[in-house]
Amino acid sequence: MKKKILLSALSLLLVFSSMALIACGDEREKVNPTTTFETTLQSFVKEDALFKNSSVQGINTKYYFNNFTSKSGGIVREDDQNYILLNAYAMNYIEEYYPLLTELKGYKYSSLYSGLDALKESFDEVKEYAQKIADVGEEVEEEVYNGFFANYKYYARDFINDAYSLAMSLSDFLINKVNYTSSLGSDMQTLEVVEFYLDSQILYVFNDYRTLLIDSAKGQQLTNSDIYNQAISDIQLYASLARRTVKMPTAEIMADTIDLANHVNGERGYTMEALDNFSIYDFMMTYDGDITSYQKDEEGADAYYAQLQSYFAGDNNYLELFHSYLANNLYE
Amino acid sequence: MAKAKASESKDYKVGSPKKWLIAVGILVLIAIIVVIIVLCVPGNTYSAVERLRQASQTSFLRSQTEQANYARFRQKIGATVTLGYYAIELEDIQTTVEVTNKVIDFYDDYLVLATENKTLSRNYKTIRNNFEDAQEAQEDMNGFIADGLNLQDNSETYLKNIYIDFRESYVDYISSMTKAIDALSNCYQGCFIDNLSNNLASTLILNSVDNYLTVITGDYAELVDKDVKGGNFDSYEYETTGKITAYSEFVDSYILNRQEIVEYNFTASLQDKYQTINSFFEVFSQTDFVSVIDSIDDELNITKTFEVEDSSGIYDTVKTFLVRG
Repeated sequence: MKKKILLSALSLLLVFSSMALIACGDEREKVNPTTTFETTLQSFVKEDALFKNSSVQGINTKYYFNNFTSKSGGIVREDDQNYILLNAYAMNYIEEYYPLLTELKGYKYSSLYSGLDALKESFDEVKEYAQKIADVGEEVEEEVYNGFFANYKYYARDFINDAYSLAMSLSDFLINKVNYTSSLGSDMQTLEVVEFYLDSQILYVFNDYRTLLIDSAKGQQLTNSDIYNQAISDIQLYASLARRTVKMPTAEIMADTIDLANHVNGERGYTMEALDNFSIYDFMMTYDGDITSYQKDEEGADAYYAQLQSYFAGDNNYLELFHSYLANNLYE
Repeated sequence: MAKAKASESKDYKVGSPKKWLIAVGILVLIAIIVVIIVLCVPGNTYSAVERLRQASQTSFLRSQTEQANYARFRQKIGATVTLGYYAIELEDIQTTVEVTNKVIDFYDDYLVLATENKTLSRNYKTIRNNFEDAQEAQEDMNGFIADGLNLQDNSETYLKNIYIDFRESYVDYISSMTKAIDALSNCYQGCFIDNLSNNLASTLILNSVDNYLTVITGDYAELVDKDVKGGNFDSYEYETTGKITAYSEFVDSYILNRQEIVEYNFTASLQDKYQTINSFFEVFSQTDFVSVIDSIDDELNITKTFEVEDSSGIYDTVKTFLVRG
């Protein structure tokens, strides 16, 4: 009898917990998020504390980090432009492609809403520090100025990471849930969809560079690292690609491109695994660029390093080869 | 009363064996499960990596001590009047070992990223066991080298016998390495899915490495059978130098310089080249491919011919691929 009562109580607890969980789910998830995207992005540019209209590596953007500067030798100059470039591309991508959601019905948008929420939160944090550095002015001592900038850069990193998270969610949603690119590789393909697909591939590559430069290198300019140096050079190749006009490929070329991009994506998986286990920052700063020392603490260090080199660095690294393929076959 | 008691005792006797049987059955089941887990648990990536890492650091002629002792052993044999012909073998053994070490290093670069799947599980034991066997053979080889270097007696017969023992252990070593590398090749091709560096070029290249090793190992195994203690030089026949040179150049061209593997997916001409090579297997068999390698002479000519006419030039492409590609 006691057992029966206990089992019944447990069952009721499970049922009520499930109901509570269902009830607590995001009510918005079935509501088309287009308006939320619009109002969020408008709110970002409304205040000019954080963003301004400008151009980075020839890419026009409303999302150029304002006062992203550090002081050295008494002169205030722009700090790591790669932060600005990476942020601009992701935000431009979100702004360009969220309208594709406009007419959609019947989907669940929880991943997009959670991405938007995270981005808004990061924005609120980083804009404070952008404002502080603007308020403090360029005349203060170098240490004080750079102290404010260090905080600004730290929160800018979070914003960029959340921007990529949202952009990648949007891309994934459109490609895998909406099947927006299903016509590619057939006679039904359109230039619009080709452009979206290629912009998405560039987004993924920029995300690779983000993971390397901002996460693995901790945003530090590790100019004595061959991987770092090659990455900051090659990122400009993709920036220049993003400025170019897409030419309409044949269905066959598009099918080959998709096949190749899938292989690149496979390689990307192994590269991300390598980046999970190998820090470029630690390699250069803690182990002084000595792979044998790193291996004492991380046995697979040389293998991870080899993977990063084959993907990012050296002659004929994969990202350079992919760029050459895209530039020669898909762009004017 | 007596009946009731009998019945009770009867019930008691029937009840307890059943419970014991169930308990024993459960224990046996647990034991079987434990045995299955211990014997068949998938070798995870990290275990395979550790084993491979160990092999890459300790395989034959990695250490300077081994290199120095081997050089002295070669010199001692080469300096004799009657055993000088073994000096060519010893040089070729050194080349084969050093080239094979480069192949191990290639796999060592990649295996840590392998996906843990059935392919890895199926091949892990082969990798582990054969590296262990190779290590044992290596210890024997080092033992024979030490015996040879310590030999005070000027009898070249004793030195010859030591060399014959060394060669036999070497065949065990290289056979085990060949099997381990074959299993690593299976892992590479089966555990790196949708990856740029796992493509038709890498498949053909890595399979060819396996074939080269099989041919070279086979030649030395024949020597072990033919060139025995107490035998005379008339039966000695060694024609493997060309194959070993070709193997060395092949590994340098396609493994150390991985350009064709890296660029395969990006270059139409490379895709054409490897599709042509692959089409060899539509006309001929894997055994035929191995026999092509086996026919490489000391001048690096491929002497194998086929009765089937090859008007598409496939065989020429294969020959260029295998030797000085």
